[in-house]
Amino acid sequence: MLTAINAIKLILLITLGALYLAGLGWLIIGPLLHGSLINRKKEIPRFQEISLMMISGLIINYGITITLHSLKTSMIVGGILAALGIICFLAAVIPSFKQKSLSMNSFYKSGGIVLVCGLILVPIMTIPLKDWDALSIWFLHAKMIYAAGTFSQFTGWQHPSVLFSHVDYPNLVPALAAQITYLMGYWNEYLPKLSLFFVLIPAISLLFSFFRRSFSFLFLVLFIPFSFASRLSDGYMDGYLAMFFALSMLFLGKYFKENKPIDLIVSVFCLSPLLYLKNEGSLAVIAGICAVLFVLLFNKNKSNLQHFFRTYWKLLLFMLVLVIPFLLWNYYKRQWGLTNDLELRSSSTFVRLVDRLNDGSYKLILDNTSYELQNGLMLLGILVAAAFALKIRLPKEILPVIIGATVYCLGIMAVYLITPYDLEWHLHQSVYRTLLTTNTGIYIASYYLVNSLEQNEDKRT
Amino acid sequence: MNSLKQILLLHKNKIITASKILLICLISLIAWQLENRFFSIFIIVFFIATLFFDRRRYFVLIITTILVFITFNTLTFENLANIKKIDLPFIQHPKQYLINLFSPDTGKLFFPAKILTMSSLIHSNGLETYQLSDELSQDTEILQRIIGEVWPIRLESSSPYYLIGTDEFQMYQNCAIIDQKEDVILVNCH
Repeated sequence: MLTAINAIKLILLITLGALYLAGLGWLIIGPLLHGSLINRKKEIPRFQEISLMMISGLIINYGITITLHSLKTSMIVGGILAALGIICFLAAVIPSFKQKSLSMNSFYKSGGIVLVCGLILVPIMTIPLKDWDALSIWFLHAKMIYAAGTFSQFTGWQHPSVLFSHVDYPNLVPALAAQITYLMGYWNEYLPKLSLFFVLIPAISLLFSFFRRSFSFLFLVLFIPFSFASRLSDGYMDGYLAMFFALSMLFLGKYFKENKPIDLIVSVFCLSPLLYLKNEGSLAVIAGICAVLFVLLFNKNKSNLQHFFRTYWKLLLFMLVLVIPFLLWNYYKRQWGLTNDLELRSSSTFVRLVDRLNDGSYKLILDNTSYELQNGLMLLGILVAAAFALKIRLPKEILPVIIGATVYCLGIMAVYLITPYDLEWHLHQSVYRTLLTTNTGIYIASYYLVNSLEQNEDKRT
Repeated sequence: MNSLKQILLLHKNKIITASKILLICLISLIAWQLENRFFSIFIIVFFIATLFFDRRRYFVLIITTILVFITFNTLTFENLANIKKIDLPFIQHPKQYLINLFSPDTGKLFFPAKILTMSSLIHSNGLETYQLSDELSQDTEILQRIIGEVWPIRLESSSPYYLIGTDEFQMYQNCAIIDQKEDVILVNCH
């Protein structure tokens, strides 16, 4: 009986949480994609639409929490807005359900999403918090917000005893974890981790937009998320950062090839949660923007940037709305005197950079970087060689992906060049995680090559 | 010039095969240099074997190569095996896992025993602030875990309550012992 009650609690928590986020998200996605909250004017793939709703919902929820401060008030306001969003969404979506029933493909996709999410959900909720950063940073912040019942100065960010926990880091997941535990009324080492699952759902749903009964899709799923699945359940943010960056590059490549506006919208939307996961997310967003600009400049079918601004002004406007919580957090950080441990704005940064370039430390960074990336590069090399051997043109989709991954990698290397910590220690502690994002970029480029080779094989047979 | 062209035309297939073997050897060499030695040997053996296939399905070679790569060069299968190891017991006996998920203060099994002892001392004596002895605060793990574990009870430099190790008592002789549990003593140094 107790098991049944707990199972119902879990299902309710997940369902209500997903509905809450989707409802909030529709308030952005409805007007952006359809120009209306209650009319679905365009035929957008459902999985992509729902994923975009959840991504927006996560950010709006964080925005409400950071604006209203009190967890209780923010959840009440969020709940009312989410209910409004869900009602509008249902009003918009029910007529389209009547017109078009679920296809077999959608059935397979749904099954795949449930299976992959379910496989990762179990480790998320059955393994307690145990890894260093999860305990010392992310879920310590969550516990601080939960204990104070507020995301404000009274949370305790300025208390000297917690300065080790990088109090300037973005808090999307910690705030969500605090809300979950606040709602349930108690803290333990399992329940707050459930917040990770709400970040995972839209990512996996977007991944399954690429579903085909093919080897290339199997390749994609084996690499993303399963090659770093442990990083999705251990309470670190690196796995999610890599996942959303990879998804952004995946959709950008698709847009470069097929020119469907929804792919560009999804790609840009996938960059937005990066700002709220980790500080490195800002670098990933810059890398993503470089890749997007490359696509816009070299896209033969759609003329130029001016055309882009004319067509996508609404997207830019809504992206600005989604950036507000990021700006707000930066404002609070300045107000509360929360500084970054890398001392990026201090004058000694330049001195360290010059020193490391002169004393040969950069070689250590290069060694570590090449060690972390060698596997992915080797795979990419083999696939490029195979494409040459089979006289197949390299798919153009890989170009923006490589650009994004390269810019991110160079940025990370620059961060190591200016780190105030002992370089060897810093590299040893983090390089395997920070370069995961670059590796996933390489895997996405490899996926496009495998896809191209597979299509060539299909033509031959 | 013409004779060279004729030779090239005559031996076109052989030249292409030789170039491919060279390319594969180059990739193998790089893999060997990067210490992926099994992969290096595998790719040569497999490629040569496929040259003798009647019908050359190159994509099969690519699939096999990728699968070997995934097996030996990524954590994919290891992660899948771990997921299986974690998921199966939950599916078979979810009761305890769900109780853990929906009960307060569960999941501290990975905390060092000392942290649990210190936390118990802080809670059972109703402290609002505390300090750690020099030895305890020099241990980064102890310091960070206890701050997180007992939060919002705060580590304050003005607190009269010290948590000390039993072996450190000599240095806190002027303080009054409030409580002791295992190898940790709570003292008041007011």
